[in-house]
Amino acid sequence: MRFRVLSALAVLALAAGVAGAQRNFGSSDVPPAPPIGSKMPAIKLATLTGETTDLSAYLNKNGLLVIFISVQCPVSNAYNERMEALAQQWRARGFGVVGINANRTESAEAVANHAREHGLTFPILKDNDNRLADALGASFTPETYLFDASGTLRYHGRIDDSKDPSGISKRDLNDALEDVATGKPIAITETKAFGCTIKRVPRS
Amino acid sequence: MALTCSRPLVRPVLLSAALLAAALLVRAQTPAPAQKTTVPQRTLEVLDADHYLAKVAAEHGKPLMVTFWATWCEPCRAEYPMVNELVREYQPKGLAVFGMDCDDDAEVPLALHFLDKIQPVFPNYRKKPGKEEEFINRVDAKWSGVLPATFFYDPQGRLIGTLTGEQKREAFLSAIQATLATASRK
Repeated sequence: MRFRVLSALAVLALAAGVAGAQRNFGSSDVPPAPPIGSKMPAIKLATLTGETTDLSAYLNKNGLLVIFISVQCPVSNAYNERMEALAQQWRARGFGVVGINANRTESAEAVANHAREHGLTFPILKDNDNRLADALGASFTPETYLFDASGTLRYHGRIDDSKDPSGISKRDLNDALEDVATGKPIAITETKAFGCTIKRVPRS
Repeated sequence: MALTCSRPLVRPVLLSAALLAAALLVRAQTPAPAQKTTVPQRTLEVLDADHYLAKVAAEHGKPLMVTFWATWCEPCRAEYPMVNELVREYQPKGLAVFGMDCDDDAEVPLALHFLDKIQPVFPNYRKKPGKEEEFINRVDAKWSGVLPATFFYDPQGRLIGTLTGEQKREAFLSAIQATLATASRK
């Protein structure tokens, strides 16, 4: 009797495994994002003038906001004004803010020109070999990561819930920043939105 | 007398009949070429998450591919013609396909213009604007929301695979063939 029960359970488990198996036919080599609570990776990046810098250099007394952005992505560009407004507001409240361009197709010069044209005043770094994008599992733009003063990841995801500013109903990133600034737990720590794929360096 | 008069006709008649029979036999054994059944669209039916899943369910019994795209997504626009050609080849072999446009209301004219230029052989719908995160999670909880994204379902409607981000033709070909193979399993 016990053997029959165990056999039946084994068959059910196998069937469930087969039924639940979902193959990743291809995901452009994007590693998974680290879980909330992970430490900020120690990654060297390039400034737009070619100097090497460390991400931790931008951590301020209340934390650091990292935003993966793009020159050409219409979704990222739809957020240009909002990103600049967030940067100004939260730099004043003790957060570092840094933009990351991880697109192999966008040069440092193009990124600098784009920032000038669109009035982006926060520092923007190039992640030329996608080491930071890989460490954070970043897959699209705009995609944000909020670290607190200890360098702990507290929020990952979208800026808000609408590409069109007139349709915003949730300002997830702003809420997360407010919670970190006031020492409160963040209600929603991870969110999703449509965005343009980060054009990664091909893997050999 | 009659036989003498019909003898010269017998051979050509028999030859014609044989040729006709051969032609009919060849036609029966030759698969019909893929029909260029383009789906002209003047509007894009809008689907929320419930209606998207209903469209997927409506294809039960067939292996299914659903490709998500948007006019603002350059890799989506780049791969769409290639995907269309693969669908033209594999739809007659049993692959069900539909496309999901993720443009907002203001971009619909661009989307229709894009479709008019490409002339896809599969129907396209549009994701209802808003509630992106809910929609993304209901399609696939593992999907980050990145576009392009293509989802593959077996004839029982189970999500069996995904392609996200820029992908080459070989990746699509492999995924389509693996999806079609599920149709032969019990």
